[in-house]
Amino acid sequence: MAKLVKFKLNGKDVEAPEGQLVIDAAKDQGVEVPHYCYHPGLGNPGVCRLCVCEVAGAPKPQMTCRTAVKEGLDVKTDSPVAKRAQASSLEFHLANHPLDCPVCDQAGECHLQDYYQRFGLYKSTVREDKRHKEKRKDIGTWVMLDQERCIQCTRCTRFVDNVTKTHELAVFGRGDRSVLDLYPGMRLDNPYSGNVVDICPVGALTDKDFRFSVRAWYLDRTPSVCTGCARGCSVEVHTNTKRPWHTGGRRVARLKPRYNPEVNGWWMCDEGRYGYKSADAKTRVKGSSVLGTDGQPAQLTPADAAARVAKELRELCADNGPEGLAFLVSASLTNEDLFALKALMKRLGVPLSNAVLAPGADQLGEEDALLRRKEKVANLSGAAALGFGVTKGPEALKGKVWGAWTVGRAGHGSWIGLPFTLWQGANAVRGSDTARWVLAGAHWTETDGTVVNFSGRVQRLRAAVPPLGESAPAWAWFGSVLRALGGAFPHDDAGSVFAALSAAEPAFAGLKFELPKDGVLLPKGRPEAATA
Amino acid sequence: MSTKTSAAPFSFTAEQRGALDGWAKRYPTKVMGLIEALRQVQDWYGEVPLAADGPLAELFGVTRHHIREVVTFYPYFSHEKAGKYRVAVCRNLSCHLAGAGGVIERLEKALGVPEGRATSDGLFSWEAAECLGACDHAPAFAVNDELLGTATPAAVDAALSGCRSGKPPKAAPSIAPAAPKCGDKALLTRGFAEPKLHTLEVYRKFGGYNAWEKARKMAPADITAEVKKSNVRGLGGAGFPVGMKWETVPPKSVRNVPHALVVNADESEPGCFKDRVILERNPHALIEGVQIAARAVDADHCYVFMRGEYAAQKRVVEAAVAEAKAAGLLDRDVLVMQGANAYISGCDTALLETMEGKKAWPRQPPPFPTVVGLNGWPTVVNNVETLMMVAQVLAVGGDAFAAAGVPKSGGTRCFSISGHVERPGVYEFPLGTPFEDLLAAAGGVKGGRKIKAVIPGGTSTPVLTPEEAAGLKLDFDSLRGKGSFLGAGGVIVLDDTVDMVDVLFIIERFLWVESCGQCTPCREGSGWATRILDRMRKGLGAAEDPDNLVRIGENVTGKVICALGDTVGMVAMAMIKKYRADFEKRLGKR
Repeated sequence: MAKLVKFKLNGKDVEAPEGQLVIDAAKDQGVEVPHYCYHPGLGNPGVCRLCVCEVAGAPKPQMTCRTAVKEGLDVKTDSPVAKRAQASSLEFHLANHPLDCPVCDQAGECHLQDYYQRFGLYKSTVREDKRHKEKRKDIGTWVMLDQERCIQCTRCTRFVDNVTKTHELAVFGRGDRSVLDLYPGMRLDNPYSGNVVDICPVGALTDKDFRFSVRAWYLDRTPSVCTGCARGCSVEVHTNTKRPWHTGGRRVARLKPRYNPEVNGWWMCDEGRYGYKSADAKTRVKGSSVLGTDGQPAQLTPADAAARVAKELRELCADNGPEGLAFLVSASLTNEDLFALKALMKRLGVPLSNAVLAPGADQLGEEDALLRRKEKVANLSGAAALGFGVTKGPEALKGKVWGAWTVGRAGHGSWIGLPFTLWQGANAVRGSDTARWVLAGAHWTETDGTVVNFSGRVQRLRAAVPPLGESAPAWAWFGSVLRALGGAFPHDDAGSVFAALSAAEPAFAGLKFELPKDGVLLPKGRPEAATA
Repeated sequence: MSTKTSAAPFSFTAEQRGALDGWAKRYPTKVMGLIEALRQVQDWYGEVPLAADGPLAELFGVTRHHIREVVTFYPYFSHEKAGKYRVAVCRNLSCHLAGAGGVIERLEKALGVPEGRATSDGLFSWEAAECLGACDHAPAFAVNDELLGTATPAAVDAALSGCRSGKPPKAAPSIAPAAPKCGDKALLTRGFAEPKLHTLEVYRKFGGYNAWEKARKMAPADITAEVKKSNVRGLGGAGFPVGMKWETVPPKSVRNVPHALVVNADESEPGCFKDRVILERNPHALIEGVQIAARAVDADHCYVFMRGEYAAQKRVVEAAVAEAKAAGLLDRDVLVMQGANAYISGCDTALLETMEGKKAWPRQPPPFPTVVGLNGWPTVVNNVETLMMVAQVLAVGGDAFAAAGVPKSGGTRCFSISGHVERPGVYEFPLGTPFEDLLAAAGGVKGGRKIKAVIPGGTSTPVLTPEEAAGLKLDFDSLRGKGSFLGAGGVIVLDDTVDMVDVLFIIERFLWVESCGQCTPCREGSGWATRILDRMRKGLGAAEDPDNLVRIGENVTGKVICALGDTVGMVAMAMIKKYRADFEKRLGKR
């Protein structure tokens, strides 16, 4: 850490690390300086010329993104000269901008709009015709380009040059004839393409999946964690409940990466970003059921379901021994879920080794050096920390079990025909409808809880919307069955489960449910088993 | 962008590959040869075919999109397949005053194709160019970067028919007046009456290389000390004291990396052509200056970066280098490098980007090039004339050189003068010489008319009224006192027939065309101002236009990375302040 030095910001004496960019130091002091080209994850080319300040002793205005803090620096971002320069820079940015806000999907979260309100407010004197470029260019699976709206801040080209190193986009040409475009013949189809939409400060790059569905100002934002892989990227879940007809009833409208220097920086992958769709998909299981003798599912209330499952398990365990019951569990389940599961298994007398959490073939995928992990589950480390085996598949149990309780992963295939089969989860998968019992699980966007990522960092999931239909989080199901078996599970919310968990589980000792926004490392570090 | 170019399967012939390999191996890094290799590809195919990006990217160790960014940035690379012979007519200020518009119209009619489009036989395409560096031959024209002098109907016809019969014209070694009238204190132009001054033999008769022989025996620090004493300043436009610049190069004992010396021969400022003339007439003076400077700053690599349009001058300098080398005069080799016809490459940091095979986007100091320059090495970038003067400093001694000029600005310099004068050309005078002396040397105002305005240092410098020009001493500090700049010493005289709306339009259009597009205020402001002025010259001005132009000017100036951007504003502000009546005349009904 650089040493702290004193300098003057807008006449106020403040402190910042020596060498920090003034634009960042100002932000830390609550002073916003408008900017386009600067992005902390993409560098400071200093080309937009918007973040202007006055520095005492400098012959002309300076850019806060190109000025480093040093002892005695006297910088003003709110002097008349700086403010006029900021306003005029905005005017230049808008000189060739089409101002088609009413039909622009970025409206409401556009930095041209926001900055005009806060730093512009001049009377426009542009009377000339604007330059015309391509308005609607489908450049990739997820992204639409409008060249006219582009202000050539080069954030996206720096992203594909320096972050993904895939080089699909570039600024071609010269002067105001320059255009942002794909390299001829290429498509923006890298695994992180959606990020260019996030970093585009204007409406030049919009999200084909989201555009024209709902205006940004109708959205609610909930900080959470993507459960798409063992990285556990910090995200914001954007939900639309104010104008449900705009998204055809879909409550979750999109995911956005949430800055977390310890996990994902500013980015997330497309796989995770567009994985949110399962929340409102047709495959959602909204109610619980049991297969009747006629082979047809009969609906059950949650209370009935828990009571009947408990009764059947008690009998089967008594007759055949509890060691014949297997739990096939997705390692995306939260720590609270797994803590409840542990309690349930203990009550039933089922050994912990009967729980299979190792990712199945359908839970493994691509990995790269940027973010994506090959285990497409969020809480492998948490499961290991709670004492579950996370490396062994179900093979060892084959032929030795009379029952399989599957949670949040592909159905049990070859175990069809066992006396007890239960599938629990949010989205129906192959084989899930062949289970005798089906319990409706909450989606991760509907879930409060904690997960531990591959590096041992504990992060908070937050429910952005309530569970759909009669679905419930896994810990609630396990708790209900446990109670029906006569056990104690005195918890009504995930926070209460976590309090019990951190008291009981040494790996989580001392942790509080209200985690810091970047999460914290497990006090004793990452469990060994999770690394396998 | 030129995505329309054919993407058919593509490979270079063995011979072509050999040539391209040559470029990739010519410089310390492969990519330094890229721009010149692309020029060659453009010459072979009349374009840089899209399908060539892959092989080129591989050869030069860059990405395909890097190649395409460069190709779409520099004007040398055509947007569509160009004719075998590319005819360029200068449309900038001095050439405009001399009737370039008519030449362009005639050419368009003769070739029967719009600008940039090849004739059906593939033989010709034409373009209205932004300053060819030959204002003394206005209206100037060139074929395939061979500068052919004044575009009289006869000269253009002769050039076209030469091309048709397979004998394309080549620029003569010198299209400059044989013996410009020089002040009696002339240093650089002293031997100009001698037709063979560009040869080593004649150059030595004038004492050539004696300064270098002297400097060769001096300690590097002593050379710099002498240069500091001389008060010689950067003559490319900035006027920065040369010795002071050299002193900022960190010694190799501090950072042990190669040093580079780059001669900025990318003269492209409208109104300036002195480097062209002194290069073609007196190339050994440059080579001598380079050897001296390279010794002073401990340079390992010396380059002359020459604007693309100076094909003949390149041949002259290369011949002189070969001659000097053969005579054992060179301690360090000198390589001549060609640009791809972008004005912005003349800005020192943009020039380094071009040399590194990139788009010419100026860098933002600090660090300055003398600390981190070409390939990250400490690099001194000096103008052609500056380095020639360094040789004169060593020849006559720092004190004597300083005495010839004014305090803080020593010696003489070569002025380019064009526009409405009888004898446009290059005239050498001591710094501080009154404007009238220069005007008299050029034969006075054409036709004895009255002066309306004087542009003192190239079109990037704020205009002066006749009152301001009267008795004005031509040196850096006196010009600053008048709110303008001596710049590269390109004086343009405008007589009382000139309309300043047209003049400002031509200047702003030039800046708009040449703006690199990196900084928003310049990218957008230059085009905005140009569109307003275009409307005004068509009689569609609005009452607020003049004030708006001033406001645009104020808002660009000082907010951008390089001097081109500042120019967009400064030039407009001065012009409207001083010639407001001309602008108010152009207000019409909208």
